[in-house]
Amino acid sequence: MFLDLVRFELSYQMRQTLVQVATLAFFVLGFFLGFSLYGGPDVYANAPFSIAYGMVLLSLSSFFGLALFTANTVLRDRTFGMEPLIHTTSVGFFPFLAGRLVGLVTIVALVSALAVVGMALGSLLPPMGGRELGPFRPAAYLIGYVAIALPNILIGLSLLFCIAALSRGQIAVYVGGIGLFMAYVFAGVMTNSPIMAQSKPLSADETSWAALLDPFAVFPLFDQVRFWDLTAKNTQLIVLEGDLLANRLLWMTLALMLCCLAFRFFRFREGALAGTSARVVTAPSAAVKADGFGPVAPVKPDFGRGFAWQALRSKVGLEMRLMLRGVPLVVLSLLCLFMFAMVLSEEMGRGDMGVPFQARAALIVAELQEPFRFIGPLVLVFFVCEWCWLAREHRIDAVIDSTAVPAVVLWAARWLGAACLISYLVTLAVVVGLGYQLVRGAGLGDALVYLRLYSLVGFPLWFFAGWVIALQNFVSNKYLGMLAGGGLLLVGRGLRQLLAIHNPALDVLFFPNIFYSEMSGGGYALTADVWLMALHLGAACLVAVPTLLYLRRGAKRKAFGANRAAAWLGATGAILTLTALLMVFYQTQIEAPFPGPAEREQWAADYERNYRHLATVPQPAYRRGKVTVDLYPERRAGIVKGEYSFVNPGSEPLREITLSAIPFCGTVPQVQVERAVRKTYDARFGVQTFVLDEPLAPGAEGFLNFTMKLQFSGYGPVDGEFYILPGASYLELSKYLPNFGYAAQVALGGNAARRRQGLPPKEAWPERATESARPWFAMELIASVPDDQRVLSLGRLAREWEADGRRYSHFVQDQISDHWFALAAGHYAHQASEVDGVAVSVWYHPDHEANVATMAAATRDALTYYRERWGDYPYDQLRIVEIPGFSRRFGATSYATTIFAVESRLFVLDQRDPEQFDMVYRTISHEVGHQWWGGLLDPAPAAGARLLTEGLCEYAEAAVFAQKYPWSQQQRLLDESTARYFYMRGYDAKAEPSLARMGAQIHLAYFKGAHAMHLLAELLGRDQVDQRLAAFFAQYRFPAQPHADDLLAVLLDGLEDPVRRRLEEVFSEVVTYDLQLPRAEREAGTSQVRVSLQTVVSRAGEVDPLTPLTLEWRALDADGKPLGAVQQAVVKPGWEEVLWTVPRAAVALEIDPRRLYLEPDRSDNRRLIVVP
Amino acid sequence: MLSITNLCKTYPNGVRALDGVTLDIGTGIFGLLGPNGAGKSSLMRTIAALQEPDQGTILWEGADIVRYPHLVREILGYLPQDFGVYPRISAEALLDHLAVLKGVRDKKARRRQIDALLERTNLTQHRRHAVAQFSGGMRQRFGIAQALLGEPRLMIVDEPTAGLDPEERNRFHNLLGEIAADITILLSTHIVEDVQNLCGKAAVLAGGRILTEGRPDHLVAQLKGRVWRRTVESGSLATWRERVTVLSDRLEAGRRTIRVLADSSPGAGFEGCDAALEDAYFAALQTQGTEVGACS
Ligand SMILES: Nc1ncnc2c1ncn2[C@@H]1O[C@H](COP(=O)(O)OP(=O)(O)OP(=O)(O)O)[C@@H](O)[C@H]1O
Ligand SMILES: [Mg+2]
Repeated sequence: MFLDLVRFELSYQMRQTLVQVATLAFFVLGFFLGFSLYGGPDVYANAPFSIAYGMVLLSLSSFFGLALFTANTVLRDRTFGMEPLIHTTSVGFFPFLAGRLVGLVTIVALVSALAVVGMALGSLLPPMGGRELGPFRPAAYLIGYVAIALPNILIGLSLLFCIAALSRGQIAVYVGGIGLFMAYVFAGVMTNSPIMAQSKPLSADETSWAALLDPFAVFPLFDQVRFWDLTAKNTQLIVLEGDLLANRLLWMTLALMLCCLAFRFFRFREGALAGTSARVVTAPSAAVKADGFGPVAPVKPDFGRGFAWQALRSKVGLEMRLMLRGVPLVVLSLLCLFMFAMVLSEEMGRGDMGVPFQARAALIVAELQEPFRFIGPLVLVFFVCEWCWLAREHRIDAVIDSTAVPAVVLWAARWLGAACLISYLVTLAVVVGLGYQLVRGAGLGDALVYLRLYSLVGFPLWFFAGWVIALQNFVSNKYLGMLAGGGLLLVGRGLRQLLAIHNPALDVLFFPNIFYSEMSGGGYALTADVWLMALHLGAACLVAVPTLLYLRRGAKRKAFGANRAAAWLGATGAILTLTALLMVFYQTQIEAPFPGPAEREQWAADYERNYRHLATVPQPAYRRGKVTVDLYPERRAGIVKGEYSFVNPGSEPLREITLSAIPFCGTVPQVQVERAVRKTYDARFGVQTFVLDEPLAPGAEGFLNFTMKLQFSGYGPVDGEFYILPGASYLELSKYLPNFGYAAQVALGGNAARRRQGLPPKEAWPERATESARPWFAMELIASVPDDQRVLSLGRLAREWEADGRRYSHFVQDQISDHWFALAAGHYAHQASEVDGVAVSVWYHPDHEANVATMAAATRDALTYYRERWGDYPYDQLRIVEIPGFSRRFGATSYATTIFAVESRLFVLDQRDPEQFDMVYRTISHEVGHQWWGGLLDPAPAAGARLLTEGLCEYAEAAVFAQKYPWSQQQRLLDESTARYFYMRGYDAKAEPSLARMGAQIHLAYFKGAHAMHLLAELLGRDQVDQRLAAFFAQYRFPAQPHADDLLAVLLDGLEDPVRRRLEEVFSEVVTYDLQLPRAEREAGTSQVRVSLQTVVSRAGEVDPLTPLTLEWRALDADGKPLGAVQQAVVKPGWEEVLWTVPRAAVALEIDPRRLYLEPDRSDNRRLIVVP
Repeated sequence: MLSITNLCKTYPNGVRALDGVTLDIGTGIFGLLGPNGAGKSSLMRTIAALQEPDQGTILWEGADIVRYPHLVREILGYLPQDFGVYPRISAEALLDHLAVLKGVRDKKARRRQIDALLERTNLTQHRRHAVAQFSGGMRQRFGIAQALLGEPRLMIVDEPTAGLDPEERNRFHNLLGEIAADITILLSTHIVEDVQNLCGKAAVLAGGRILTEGRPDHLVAQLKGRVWRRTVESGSLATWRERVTVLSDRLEAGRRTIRVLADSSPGAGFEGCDAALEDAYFAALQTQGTEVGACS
């Protein structure tokens, strides 16, 4: 009996078009996923780890299909009105339901297995983005399927099955499906899994919780590979053990329980939860009255003006009541509210180092947009399709379709319904946003910013709804239509990627960048977004035309009555699309041409091929520059003029000079060199060569001038280093002006891109750079903006005046160690003070005062410390200038006398809680440090240079910070830095160099750098270090060009082992440790504790079994406070048991409390003392 | 005036539901008789512009309503054979909505008409109940009420009395009779008696074709003196069928009686009897050669 049921179920399913199409769709999906597998930079596209992650994505995408399958399987009796027939047969409910479930599971397992086959095939193609392909390993797919995909799918399935069986409502199942996606978002946000924006390392406790609670095993997966190096990531198979195994077991048990729940409460009775119970009203026949009424007076219908509108209102009203009522919508709303609240409290409440952001709408809207990317299209596809089928499913379509209501009303009612649903969801988000602001004690003065959510989330979703409605009209099965709606997104994106069209604005569903800067008073794209949205609206109108002409009405397709509306829509759509296309074309190709990513890559590669040789050709250097900049922020335009003098710093006369200017927005600056003729001019690369009338003798001076136009359009990705916006602008100008020789900074960075372009891997920095004489650069800048704004740049403000409604500022800066300057413009308030003759000022947006005092204090403290200890600060200015959040890729950047600090990274941090880590203070100290390290002392462009800049600034910030904050605060930063170092090195393709030989690696310069500087300070003491740094600074300040070895020579001078050894190790070698204290047992009745120690030392990847190490340890009391002094012990690598004498009150032991060893996992360094 | 010429419709699955239907329907009630699957509903759906014919024309007062379906929609009241309703929506609210869709835009007039219709269909006391919870007959009455909304000049009612109790059926007949004076009503049914009572004209449809058409009394008159009946042994039915044109057979008080069509007495034991419309119906089916099963 049961087997018959299963057999029937299977053969029934196999014959369903939905199942057949879905099978195909899943195969294609798998293929596409396989083609775009990604496990991180330089990880093989088909590395087991990438595959495992692909499985997560596969299972995630499958939930959509699962919801359809489940609804189709469990609810089909209801949909087709078969319930009374089925439920009165002799089949017991158990075999009935079990038959359905087994059938469902079998189908789903088969279909997903097929998707995995698709994935395997897809991953055989040359992967996207020039990623490398490892050997094909079927085992990796099998393990991924069994350990990740299948369990995930079963979890989703059991939940949906349970919902379907108990509620027997379609909408409930969809809401369940949406809930699954939300669970993924929750899990991502809660566990900070690396796929979500940024990953914040968790503590050991948090890690094991997160690993268990993540229903889709993303976290345990990433946790398993966390410390794998690149080779391991590329070759090692994922193992079903430890946290991953526990996670899978836990969730499979839960899945089973859900199924049991379904069986326990499922009954053959009319709909349980859906509220559609058919309590039949029967007519009491006694009440029947005899006839005798007057005739029913006909009422003349009026199909004139306004009829369509009235009908539309009535229809939308009725359908809203039908759809947006009932338990599922309440559940959906609650889920959304919960999700929004969760996202906000996590993303706004815990930024870098756990410091919260101020609850400002400008930041909140960006966080709220994120969940809509997942949930928005899903909700739309489900609900809009349900809408389109509403009348047909309730079999009232014949009645409605035979009325005189115009087709356009039937169509518009759906589109308007979608609008209502979207507005409702966005409003939920806004309510959560406002609530969050209130809870955090922020005002609601900026509530208008939430309108951006309606426009930049609501409209795109609404345009997409137009496509969904069109699809539903032409697909003859609701679930197929849903599948098609979901498929449209994937296929659209897939096609775009296959065709290498990189512009995401061409996706069917395109969300503009919503990020809002209070400084600029708007977003980045401005009118660009308006035009792109007009384009999408136009497209939505155009797809509405065939929908209207062939609107399904009864069994009829062609609706003649709709012609006028269709013509109207077609015309609107065509006009909108065309105008928008023309506008976009004009603005991106003619007014301010900007290359797409592919063009940009090609450009950079060609530039490198053509001009690489310039790097070694002697060139002059700028000595003096006078730059005028006129900004027209409303037009996003500007004009830059420059008059420069240059010298020949070399020892040979120069005949020919070459200038490169990155052609920004297509304008190559017009350069004139005095007493020289232009020999070549390459407009594509902005490279021009001049032959001097007379060779420029060593030390001799020449002159040039240029004019350059700036025009920004707002299309394409945000360039955080160069933008003009109506409210605020930031220009790292010197980079874009004509510079001598080869512009190395534009060379392609990523290895994948270089391979794609057939370029050799980027050359490592040379061991030693050849000395070249360098002059100081002296700058004068005269900048003008409309008089409600002001410009801020480097140096002394010599003069300021207003003329013709514009404000002019004249800055003078005599000594910069390079041709290196930037400027910002905006509406500023400022606070000024003086520190020993240096004018310290902070310029900020009038509404961003909260952290200004901290910044001023940090500047003062840092300036005082560095001047006292290392050497004098030669300028009379030090200013901090706020720049818009569009530059948030960096927190702050330091130029001579001026530090530009980013709005959203520092100014709007919420540092009111004194327990919080003082991010503002710390960052500003770091940037002030750059006035010395990187500014006044400018290292040779060779390997290890960043040790002298970022490395020493890590020391600088820690030194100032330690004066003000206790060890516990510093320790938090150290632990975080270490965690990031270990995380990032796992993705580094090259063999890791030592600090003294590092290139541009962030994880070395900042994160290992922080540890190295900490060790230095702990071993030598800050006074010692400062004295040595002072000596180093004095000897090597500009124009000298020191190397890392020069610093090490000074730092290690005269030091003895073991201190010397440890410092050499941290600076000149690659050594990591793993210290463990697995056991501590008190010897009965004594103060001795028997301790087991496990230590692993790895030097350049090899385990060192020999060299003993000096380990510090200390005892802790019941509150975790240190008891007594730190003790030392010398231990051999490997396993060792020792006896330590501890105070009587000691409850626990900790090894290496001062963090002198660099190790990935410190959670096992503490152990409670066991008392036998 | 609805004139249908040579209407053909073949469904995608190959069933030829309408096969050259030609009909002229004026004001008054036009009855459409036919066995299950005859194509009655197909014809009605086609007229109601819910599906397109493959061939043929339908003119309403001279205008081509296949090409311009809105013309028929604006004057149509349609009761489908089988229909559902939105859940959780009361009779009153749903009627109000449908009235708007039918162009009854003035709120007061709408109110008044809905009240009257609810009254006439005896649903006033259930006006606030969800239609989805109505009994089958009540739902059918609701369907009738909605078909009458506005000012229909063409009413298409597909088996309107199915499921109605006798009292309600009478009530409905009265209602139809009242309004039939000025408008065209196309009614399909299996109940020959209804056609007799109500319809000014009727047609018999089978296998997608019109077999006969005319005023019910004329149809009956054509058979005058040609219908004979006798009682037979139950087992001999098959033999009789071979020998004579059996119109119908029925069990009356335990004995089987057959009615036979013949120009003269078909033999001993037969007695002549008055022709009824039912005989005309079966006679029409016979001419088409359709296999006719036992009837009620
Ligand atoms: N949508 C359809 N697709 C395919 N065949 C159909 C469809 N609707 C009806 N048919 C077929 O067309 C023929 C005529 O059906 P129709 O519903 O018009 O008959 P009817 O006269 O109304 O019968 P009844 O008295 O049972 O209501 C039948 O054979 C039926 O199977
Ligand atoms: Mg029918």
